[in-house]
Amino acid sequence: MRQLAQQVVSGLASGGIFASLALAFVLVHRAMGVVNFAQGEIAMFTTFIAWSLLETGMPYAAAFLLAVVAAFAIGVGVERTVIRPVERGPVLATVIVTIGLATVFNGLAGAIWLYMLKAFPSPFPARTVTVDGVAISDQDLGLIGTSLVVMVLMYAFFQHTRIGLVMRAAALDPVTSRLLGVRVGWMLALGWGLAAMVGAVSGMMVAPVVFLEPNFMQTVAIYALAAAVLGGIDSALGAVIGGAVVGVTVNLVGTYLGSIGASLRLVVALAIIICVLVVRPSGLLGRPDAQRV
Amino acid sequence: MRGALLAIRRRRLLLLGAAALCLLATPALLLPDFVTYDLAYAGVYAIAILGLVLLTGFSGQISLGQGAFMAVGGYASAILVATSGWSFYLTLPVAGVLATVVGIVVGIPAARLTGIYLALATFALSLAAPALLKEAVPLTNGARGIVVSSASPVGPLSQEQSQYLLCWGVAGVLLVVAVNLLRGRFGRALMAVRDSEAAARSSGINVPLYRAAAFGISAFCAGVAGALLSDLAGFVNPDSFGPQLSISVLVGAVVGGVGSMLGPVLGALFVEFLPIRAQDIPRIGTAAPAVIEGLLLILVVLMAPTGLAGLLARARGWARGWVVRHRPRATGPRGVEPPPAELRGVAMVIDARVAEETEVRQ
Amino acid sequence: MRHRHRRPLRAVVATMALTLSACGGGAPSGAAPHGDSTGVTASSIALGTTFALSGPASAYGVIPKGTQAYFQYVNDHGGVNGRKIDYRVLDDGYSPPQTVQLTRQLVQQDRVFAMVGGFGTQQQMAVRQYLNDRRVPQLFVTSGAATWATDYHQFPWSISWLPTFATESMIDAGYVKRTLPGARIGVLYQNDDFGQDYLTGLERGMGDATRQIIDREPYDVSAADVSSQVARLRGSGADTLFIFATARFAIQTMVSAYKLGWHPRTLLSYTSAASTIIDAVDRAAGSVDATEGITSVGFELDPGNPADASLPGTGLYQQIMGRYLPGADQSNVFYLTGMSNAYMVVDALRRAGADLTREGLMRAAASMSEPANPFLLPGVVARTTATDHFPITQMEIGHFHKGIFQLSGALEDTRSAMLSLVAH
Repeated sequence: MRQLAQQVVSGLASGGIFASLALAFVLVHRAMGVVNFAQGEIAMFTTFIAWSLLETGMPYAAAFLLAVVAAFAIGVGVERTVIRPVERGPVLATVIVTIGLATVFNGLAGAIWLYMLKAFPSPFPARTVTVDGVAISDQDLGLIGTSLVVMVLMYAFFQHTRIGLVMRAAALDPVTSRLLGVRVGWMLALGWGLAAMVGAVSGMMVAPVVFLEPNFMQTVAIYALAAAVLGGIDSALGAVIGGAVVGVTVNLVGTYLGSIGASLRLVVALAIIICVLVVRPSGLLGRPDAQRV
Repeated sequence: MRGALLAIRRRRLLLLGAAALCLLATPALLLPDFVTYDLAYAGVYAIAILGLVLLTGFSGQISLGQGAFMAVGGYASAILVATSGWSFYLTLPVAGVLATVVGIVVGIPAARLTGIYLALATFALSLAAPALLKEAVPLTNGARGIVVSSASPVGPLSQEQSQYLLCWGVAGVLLVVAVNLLRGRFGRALMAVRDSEAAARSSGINVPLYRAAAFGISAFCAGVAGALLSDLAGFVNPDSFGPQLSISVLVGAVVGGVGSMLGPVLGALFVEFLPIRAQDIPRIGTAAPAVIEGLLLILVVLMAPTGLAGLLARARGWARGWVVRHRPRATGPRGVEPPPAELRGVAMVIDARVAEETEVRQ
Repeated sequence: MRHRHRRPLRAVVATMALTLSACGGGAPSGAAPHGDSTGVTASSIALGTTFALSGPASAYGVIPKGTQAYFQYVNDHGGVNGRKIDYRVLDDGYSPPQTVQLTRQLVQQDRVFAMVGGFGTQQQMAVRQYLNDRRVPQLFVTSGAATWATDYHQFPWSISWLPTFATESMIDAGYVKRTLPGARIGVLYQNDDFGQDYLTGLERGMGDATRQIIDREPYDVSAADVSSQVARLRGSGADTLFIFATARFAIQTMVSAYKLGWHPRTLLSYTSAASTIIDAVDRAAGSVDATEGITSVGFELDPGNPADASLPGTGLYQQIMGRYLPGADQSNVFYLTGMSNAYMVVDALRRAGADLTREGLMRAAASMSEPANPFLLPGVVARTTATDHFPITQMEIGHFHKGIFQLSGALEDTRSAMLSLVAH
């Protein structure tokens, strides 16, 4: 029983990791209906920027903020330069461009910072609370908390700020929005910028756990995609719930299906993606996609 | 309109086919073995890309899972050769058929998905394949992989020449079959499904059936390509069929051009030679060949949305237009035949698709 | 119309005939009566390698940089028997089909004399048959699998250099049996041939005491983290933890165990026992206690370890790094690994003599007795004979104390045990 509880807790902690990046996927999908395959790599790149700033002796908070700002700039810049020409084209073109971006960011990071593992500091104390034999570290609690805060911020932004409402309008009905004077293109860029910011926060939360190197977000990105798809790729709350469900499921399968389960954890996450897409593409909380013909 | 277009194509195809055959056969005899061998790899890519072009270009489905079907074919062939002592040549059709079966099984649920959702689902498939292969130890020997001794060369040819001719021969046959398939009822139905699902459905086309069939055909090509790859590399293991392979195939399809039958050939040459050549570029190339690869990929998509084949067609259109403008009318009726019409046709098809996809997304 | 097509065809036929006659005239390359010296000129030796410079295993991509630096150092000091080494590294992205292609390119296009230090067990196995068929030396492969030594009669042109993974876990098993009788052992291992080789070696080394291994937890390289496995190991009641893992997962395991408040006796595979990795654990756990007393083995110097600072090999390493790789992170042990690999290559080339042939090189590689590799721990002798292709079988147990690896001072040799593998 204690074993089960420990596995659930550590699954929730992993879920926090997945949810944080899943939120970034949700933002881009909300803005333009695609999945940015470079999301994880952009998050990785900005985490490296934060690491470089920390190496100069800058305090954590300043480095964190600067990295988030840099992420926003990268997100907007990327959208304006290479996504804009394909944003009205076929989905395929966007997919390929984001794959190209992922390759570029990964290669750049490798060339600049090399591939040796780097420790990245955590903003949370290295303490562990034990409740009835079940250990929970402050790091885990911090991760889960960060995902929840980001989710609430996203909700507030889209529901209660003018610009958030305009962004939603631009994504839902670009033609009318444009007629009403909304600069739809810049709204998309804003969506990419925000997604990159959320990704940067995610990267800086994940790096202390899985350690920093150019490939460190790749596996996380896959689980995060599973979380986003499960939650309904348009829903911030769905992404967080999806993250928790994926984290716990994968852990329990790993624990109770013996050695096969342990090495097929990734397959479980992928099976979740495939099953959700086939059975209920709108996920747990997403709105069903009304296709116009 | 489309009938006339295809009639032009048929005549042209015969000539092109004959020229292509000569072109294909010469490198094997003229070039050094290692180049022939690299070209054989390109032939394998061409086959896999052809499968994807059929799926994406002519049925409108994006797949990031071609590597998984290549794994089915590659492992089927490797297991039959290494443990059951089959002749490699006999394993080719088996690999193709087995992959087709898997393709149809995947295609049935996948037929319900479109656009980015299908891309995600197939991406998951390509990631899951290596993990599953590692676990199926009794069959696949796990992560250690299977060593295959390559098939002995035919006649007086060297190993590389023989492999090269086999790969491109198979690619050529499949290309011709594909062209014929697309020209017929089946192809028209597929394109109808791609251009407008609702319209196709209302004219009595069984949309899911055609989508699943397209998946099966695409998987057949991938399976055959996988088998050829196992013979070329002389080795299969799960890492040989990782997600990077699926991505390479998709990249090849897009760079070559998904709307054309020349696309797979050009795309294959691109994905085969770019990573190797990128390493020859001093400084950036040696430090980060990936950066060059990624940038080139983005550039091609931005500058040539119809791929290299589209660029080539456009260049040919200009050249022909120039010839038509500068040739006296007396040369006969052939000179009047306005080649740009064909291009216009292609452009129309592409425009229609772009418009359609944009609409769906909004 | 018809005209236009015939001309190129005729041209093609003409070129074909020309090339065929040219081919017929050429002598088979480099087949001098005494042996094959392809890639060797009066002033140079062409060597090639394939490595994972990109992709999932790119952390190891700095190894060939160390190798390159050492070759440059040798070249600047007169080369090998007067010849300079021309070393070409290609990136296979850790994908075997790429390895196959690039190896062929190096052998057939660039016409290298030998392939040296190629990376990855599967990747190098994929080209083993090819290189043996062509009788091209596949020298000092960077792989810890035992097959390079145990299958040498089938593949006489291939040899590795690293101690095998099984070598290490057999030494570990001996240590546990001697000093920790009754230990209840939990094992975390990577679920591929790397981790399985370790586990098999441990089980063989434990012998009758194998039942003391009470929990075996695999993880897949594609895992995001291993906290679930660590929680299970803790729950199993094990008091001794073996970590057979690559750097990332080894770090996660140690940090995660420490944070769970679980402090088993820990034995760490040498693949992850560099001081930089231990430092990362201590930093992430917020205390040097997290790695206090961890047991591992060593066979080469660790440039990040102050205990090795006074050894001449460290001085040479720093000198070469400063001169040829200025600005590089000298504490990264992989540079040194590349250099010690290069040292063995140079040694074999030198002993193969001025009249360099591929056959001579393989003879030299199979008759090694080299006690002077400055990058290995003092006392470690790289030794091979015609029937023994395990170059390095000695390792020394040690413990981490305050983040620094301290050797026990007694080298252990598993040569006889390893040779018994060949007989099987």
